Amino acid sequence: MTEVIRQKFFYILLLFGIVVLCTAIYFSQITVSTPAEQVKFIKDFGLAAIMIFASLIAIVGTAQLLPLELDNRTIYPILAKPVYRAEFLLGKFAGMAVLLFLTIVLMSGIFTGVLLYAEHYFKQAVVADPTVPMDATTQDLVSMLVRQIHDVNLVKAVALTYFKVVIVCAISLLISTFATSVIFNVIASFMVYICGHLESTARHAWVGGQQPAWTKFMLLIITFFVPDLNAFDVADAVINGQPLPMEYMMRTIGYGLFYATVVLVAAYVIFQEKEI
Amino acid sequence: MHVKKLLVQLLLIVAIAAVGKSWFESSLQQSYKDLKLGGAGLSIQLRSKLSQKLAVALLSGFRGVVADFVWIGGHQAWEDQVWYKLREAIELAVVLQPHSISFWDLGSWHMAWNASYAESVNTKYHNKAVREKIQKEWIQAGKQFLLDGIKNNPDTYELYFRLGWLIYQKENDPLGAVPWFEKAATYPEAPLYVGRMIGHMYEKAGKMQEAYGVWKRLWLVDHDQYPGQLWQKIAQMGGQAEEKLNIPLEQRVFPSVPKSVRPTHSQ
Amino acid sequence: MHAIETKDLSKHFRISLRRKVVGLDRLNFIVREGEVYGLLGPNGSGKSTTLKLVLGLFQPTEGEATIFGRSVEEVASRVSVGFLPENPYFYRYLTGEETVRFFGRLCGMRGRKLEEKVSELLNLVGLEVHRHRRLAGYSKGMLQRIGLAQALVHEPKLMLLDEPTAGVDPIGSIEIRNLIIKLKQMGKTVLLCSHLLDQVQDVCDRVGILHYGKMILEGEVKDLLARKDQFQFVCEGLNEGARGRVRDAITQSGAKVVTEGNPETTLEQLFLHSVQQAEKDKK
Repeated sequence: MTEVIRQKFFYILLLFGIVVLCTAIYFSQITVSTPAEQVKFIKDFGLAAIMIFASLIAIVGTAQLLPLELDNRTIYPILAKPVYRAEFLLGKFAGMAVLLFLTIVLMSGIFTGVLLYAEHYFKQAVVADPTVPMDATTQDLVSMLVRQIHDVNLVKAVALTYFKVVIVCAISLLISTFATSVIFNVIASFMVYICGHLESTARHAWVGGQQPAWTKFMLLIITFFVPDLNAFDVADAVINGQPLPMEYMMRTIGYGLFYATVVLVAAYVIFQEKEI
Repeated sequence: MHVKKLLVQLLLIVAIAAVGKSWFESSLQQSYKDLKLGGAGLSIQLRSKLSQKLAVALLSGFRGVVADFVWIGGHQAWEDQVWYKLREAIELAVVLQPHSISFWDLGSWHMAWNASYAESVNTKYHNKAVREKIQKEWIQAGKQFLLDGIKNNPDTYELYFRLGWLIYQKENDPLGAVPWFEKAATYPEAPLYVGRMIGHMYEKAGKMQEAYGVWKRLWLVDHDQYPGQLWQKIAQMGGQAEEKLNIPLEQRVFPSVPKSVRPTHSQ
Repeated sequence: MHAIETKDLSKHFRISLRRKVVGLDRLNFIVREGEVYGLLGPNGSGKSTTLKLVLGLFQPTEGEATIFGRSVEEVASRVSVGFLPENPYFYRYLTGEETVRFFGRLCGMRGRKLEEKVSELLNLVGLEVHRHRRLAGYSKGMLQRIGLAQALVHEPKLMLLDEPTAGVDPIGSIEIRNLIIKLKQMGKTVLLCSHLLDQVQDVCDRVGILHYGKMILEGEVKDLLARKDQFQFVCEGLNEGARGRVRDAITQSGAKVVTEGNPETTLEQLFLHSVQQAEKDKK
């Protein structure tokens, strides 16, 4: 965690994430008309910003961890101590996971601030607008907006985003145990990230469709190895007010933890045999 | 030796992962379907309607942002009064986010109100009959759009309310609007004015007995449970209905209507 | 029980499907407890490979090695090992103090004991003044000294030093050599890899010379270096006449004078003497 924090890229990405969050209000005002649309836009934009910047930090940060240790040879004095390779690997992963948690908490805090500012802004706008009658209908609309903003379910979306980036972090760590190039790792991790959003489509196609053998083989690879990252994308449902039961949350988190564990075990097995 | 051992271990991990992954994913898939999460998957048709950037964003899991940008495009089309583009954008936005109530609600408003009115006064069509025909087409498009929206989102009141309002305002059919307002009013989160709309619609359709039934039903509940309800308004409407229907005094439930608002013999 | 013992230790590196390079070929050697052992050889002879095998960083292709009787494949064998790598690299964003503390924590040290040890070691290696400076600002010699500090933090019985004086100035080299002698006096065992032979000569008890992964020579330094067929006197105040009489005595005894002349000091001794003199004059 200390290592990544002291790298410039982390600050740059975090700064960008914060800037994007803060500009969500500005963009919503110049592009859409009704307050309901504006709040939806802010929420979509904000959650997307949290997801993309957390994912970028997870991929780029994790991809560098092992190669830098090997290139700089800082790994030698560490593994020369009575340290299990599993401890070393898990330590790297845990540091990254904690960093991602703190990043997401920070960005969520800023996102909350942006939403509360939007609430204050809309309330002021309603009071100041002489054409809007202060009747029961207006009050109902304002209450609805406030409910939209004070939506505790947003926490669920952010929580699942966290577990999604933890999976991405584990995958990047696995790739770094056998890949020597950081750029290759970043690209490969990014490709797995994209394929992860297509995994459910690939799974359906593999199970049901009539495809040529080569296509079926590629679909099989995606189905077996790539995680279903779509299951963690509940931002749409939350923003649209759909219910998200705790049972679904727990099962998705369980899936994330299972997948990350399997990937870490595979990373350990490869790293254990690696000649340093 | 080491390579063999490594391969055996990795194969074992893959086998365990495959079993566990399948179990989790099949149960998640069912939940995903039951909870109606997600929109249309990526297809060639969908890809052809999106720009490169939006397609990549969609692939990266930013469905909401992509839908918003499509919607913004529709908003721009509304401002430019390019109605076919607006319709395309609205229809694409709901494909991406079929559970976004505001897309269905505002989309139908754009079609049945904005587009229909704009075309009704569009001097490009020299023939009045043609203008009226196109206006009706847009109203029907908005109505069908709402019916599709209700199919995708049967569990919220907004779209039922909007459909009722469309049928009343745009088809001049207050009686036709009643079932939709009634359906909307059954949802606990529906605002109180939805229930009142039913009474108003019956009155506009000249069905005083039915309207009176509505006012009475609304009145005869625990007032303390609905502090935001317009009791005075209901009392006024109910009292007027009692007057118009000549309900015997001992059967009246509303407080007496002031002389100034009582209907005279000539009315 | 020996500090290090290897039995037929071999390491082959596969460079393609058919070709492999022999890094180490059936190496058998021991390092006794309490001695300073010099593992010498040219570049590519297998010194670093031997160290990495002993540290468990490589898996042997054949054979085995033990540290104080424990197989090197066990992580616990490294509890008694301190390692100074060649050109030590540590986390540049950490300070000197943080670095030593970090490695102490890796060995299970905590709290007051660790803090005291950190201060003691920074004093020992002469980096007390720079303890709060990030390693990115350290010179090569300073990095070497931090390397020694982290290697000693958990009070190991065995020290593995890989080219400890490479790239260090003569004064620094002397300090490191003195430190090695001190370690020996503390009862520690030292395995030292170097190709700077004159520096090794002064500190090692025994040496082994590797070449293409095989041990080609091994033994006590003084035994190996002694020319048993020759003898030398170094004299002071011997005038020309006396020199002639000594030559005659040698010839009469049946021996032969191989060389004669003024003995040379070493460049290192000259450098040290000049620097020390200059400092004295400055005061």
